[in-house]
Amino acid sequence: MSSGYWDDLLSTALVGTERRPLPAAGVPAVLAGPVRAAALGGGGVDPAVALLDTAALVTVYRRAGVVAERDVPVPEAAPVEELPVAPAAAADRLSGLLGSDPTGLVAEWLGLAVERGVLAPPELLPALLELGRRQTELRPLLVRAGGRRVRWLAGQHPDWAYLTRQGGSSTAPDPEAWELGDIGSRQDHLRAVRATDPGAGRELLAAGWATEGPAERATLLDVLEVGLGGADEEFLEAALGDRRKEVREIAAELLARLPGSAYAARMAERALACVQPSPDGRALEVTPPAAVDAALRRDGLSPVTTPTPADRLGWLERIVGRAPLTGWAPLAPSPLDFLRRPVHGGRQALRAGLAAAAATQRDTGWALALLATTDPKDSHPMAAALLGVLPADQRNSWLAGELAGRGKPDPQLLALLESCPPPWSVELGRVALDAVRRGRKGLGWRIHSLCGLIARRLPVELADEAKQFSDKLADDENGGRAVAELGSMVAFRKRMQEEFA
Amino acid sequence: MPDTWSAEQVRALAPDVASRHAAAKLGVPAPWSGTGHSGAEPPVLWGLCAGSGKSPYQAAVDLSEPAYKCSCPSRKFPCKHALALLLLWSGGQVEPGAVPPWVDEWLAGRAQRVQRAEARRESAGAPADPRAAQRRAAQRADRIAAGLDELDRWLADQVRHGLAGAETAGYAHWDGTAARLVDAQAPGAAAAVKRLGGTVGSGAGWAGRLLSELALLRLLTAGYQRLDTLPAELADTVRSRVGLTVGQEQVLAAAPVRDRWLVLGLRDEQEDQLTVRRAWLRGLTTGRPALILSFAAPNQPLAADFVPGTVLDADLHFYPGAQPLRALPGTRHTAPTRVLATDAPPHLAETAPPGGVPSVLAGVADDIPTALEGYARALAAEPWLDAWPVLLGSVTPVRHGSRWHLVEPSGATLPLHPGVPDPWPLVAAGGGLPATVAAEWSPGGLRPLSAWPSGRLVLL
Repeated sequence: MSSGYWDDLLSTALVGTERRPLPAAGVPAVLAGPVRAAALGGGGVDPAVALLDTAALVTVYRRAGVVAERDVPVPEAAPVEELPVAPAAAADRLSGLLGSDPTGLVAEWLGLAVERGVLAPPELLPALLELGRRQTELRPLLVRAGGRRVRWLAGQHPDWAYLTRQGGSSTAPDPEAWELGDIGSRQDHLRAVRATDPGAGRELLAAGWATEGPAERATLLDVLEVGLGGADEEFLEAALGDRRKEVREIAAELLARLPGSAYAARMAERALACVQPSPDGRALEVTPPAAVDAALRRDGLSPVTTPTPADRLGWLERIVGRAPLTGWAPLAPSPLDFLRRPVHGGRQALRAGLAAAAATQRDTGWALALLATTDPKDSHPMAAALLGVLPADQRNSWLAGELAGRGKPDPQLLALLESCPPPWSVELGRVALDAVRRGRKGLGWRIHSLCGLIARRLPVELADEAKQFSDKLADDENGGRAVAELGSMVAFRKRMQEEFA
Repeated sequence: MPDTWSAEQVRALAPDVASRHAAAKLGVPAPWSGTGHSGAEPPVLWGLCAGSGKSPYQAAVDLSEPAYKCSCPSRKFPCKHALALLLLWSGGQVEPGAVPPWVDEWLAGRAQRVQRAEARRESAGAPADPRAAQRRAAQRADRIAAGLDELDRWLADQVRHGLAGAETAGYAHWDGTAARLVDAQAPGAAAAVKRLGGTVGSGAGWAGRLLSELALLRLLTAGYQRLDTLPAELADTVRSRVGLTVGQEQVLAAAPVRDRWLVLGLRDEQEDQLTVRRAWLRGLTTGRPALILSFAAPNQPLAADFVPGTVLDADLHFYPGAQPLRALPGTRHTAPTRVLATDAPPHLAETAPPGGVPSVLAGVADDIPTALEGYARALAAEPWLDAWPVLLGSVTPVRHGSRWHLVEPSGATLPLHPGVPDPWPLVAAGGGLPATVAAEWSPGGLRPLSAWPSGRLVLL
């Protein structure tokens, strides 16, 4: 329409009216009269002024004449949600948390939402998706608290695509997702099928196994953990020979958890070969393997041309880690008896291997026994892993038992609070507060992170105790602000929980 | 007693992020004592907050304005104590009570100040020495005329020599002319010239934008030269754009327009040494738009009187002009109320109406062609208009190519201004369904202010 004329005006203006005359043709009909008047009257015959006057007319004409475009497609709607949005007060609180970002509380909010079966307010999903990019621990919560909309939204922005790879958003089988969906949805489908019919699940996986990419093979093989049984052994043995190391590792771990499998039997035999009772019958003699033969290699150990003693102890640890714990029965009537026997030549490696086995096989009996026989000289990272094996109530009560007392608590024990994820029992909360109070002088700088940890995990029923703790110790020169804020943080969390009601 | 505000709306009143955090920490019952709210007019909240001093700070909020009082030494308005008190009230933790004497005193003091200001306003109608004032006015008119004549010649020079040279000219090229206009007592024209400098090289199509702005400035000077022949309102507009501002007392003395005014949204912008806050309003009965400007120095807080999504039953006094837009707030007849959500339940099931337009807005929102028509009519009255508020009834954000648009079910779309951040919160909240969106329309595109997807307010 008038854009041709405008462009002509513009090019004249760029070049300058002293070098080029005003465009004559192309004036929109409706402006013809005023433009002619501008060229003649107004600024006399000065073409510069005439150009400006004409440009003013055309500018206002074009601005007023804006017409809506029509070639933009209307977007697809998001899938309908099943769950309601969180109550307004809770939604406001999340909005405030996202603005100021105190550590860990967004995760707690999302956890509460998932628990109560409500969703995060949709306008906050972009900010949550951004947060989830950096804080991967939020992702499983976000996928559930965001409902169907968060996946719909994540698919529209490359930075948020990570969420489409996250499983855990639905428990119903979805065959279409298996064929066409992203890896997260496929995981969910396989898990759902395995939950009801493990055989069918395995066959589904086996059918497409050859065409799966290496990362997919690893992710999907991991799902066979659900409904794991003896019938899976053949498939897993075949997977032991997979090209990708990650897949081999997962296959080995799953086989180790099948006590009746040939793999487990092989490992048990090797383990017993390495750990023999001493001639006098009381102690245990540990003899790590001298070399890795072909069979051991297939079963997951890496050979070394000239093995050092450290390498050999590493192999021992591996073998013990993969051997079924039931296999030690010939040597001792109970885990505790076994662990109380003195060990010659490789105690650490043996215990580390047993800890790994307890973790993979989720054996609480062995885990408790290992924790009970921990020497002060032993390393505590193992303790953290073992705590993960125990069910929540046993974990809470074990740690509460260890921390309770009168004297100064061991800082390493206090550090184990980190490995105790929420929910804490009320008892553990009380004991933790008391332990910090008793041991604050010796903690130094660690009191800050410790108080922060306790503030985030303390059960909100103890809000009053927390406030008393803060009030009494706020003036103390040890800890200062971290201690003072503990009380208000727990009160904040308590209100946050109440707002979901 | 008005409905309580949401915590979101209270947070929007905070002058800065630090105040918001501080208020969140204090917004718990623990440090407060003696809190209460009055049921009757005027609706006030009060409370005592334990602080770092010996005696607790007295904080009170008059909800009808809102106006704040606190005995703490902070210079921010509202301070963290007032904000925390509002948060407490928003959370339902303030009980009704009898108004304590110190709150009564404060309210009485305010009423007195309002009375004194009114008296001043009435007496300001007649200046102290009418002849001296007239002489000053005549002098100024002469200076402005001379300054604008010079501007006129300078504008013609730009297109005579060609705009292509502007790109290399640098800011001095524009600032010199602007400074001379300030000397000629035409600050409005000076500001317009300074803005020209910012247009140069400002992205694709800058030359076209520059020509348009130069042309409109020429239109202004031509208008001033013919001031006596223009219709009265247009002459007012020209004078105002040149920089002859009308005094506040004079504006407040004009007849007010009373309506239930919906606060569409706020937009803040840095201009030179000031932050400017634009509060856009729309009369629910008259359909009239209004713009309330407030200013603050860089580290001062901005006025927090207008909360998006609230409806004020109040008088507005409009500045004179051909397309009245800018206004000053006058008497408030009731405290602000929040726009009610629809009756649709908060969950997003299919039974909720698409978009869920709040019933209050249903009659007032426009479709895109109607909104554009309103803008065209406004432009016809005032060609220099740059920003115009629109309330679009059913639009969805969608990305087309590299630009975002708001699209109606009929297929009509308007583009978003390229300077606006991607509207992801609206995309997420709308879920692909149409929503009512309030925005600022300008030749460059739309700047969304607030939206009501599924009946809940989302600030953009």
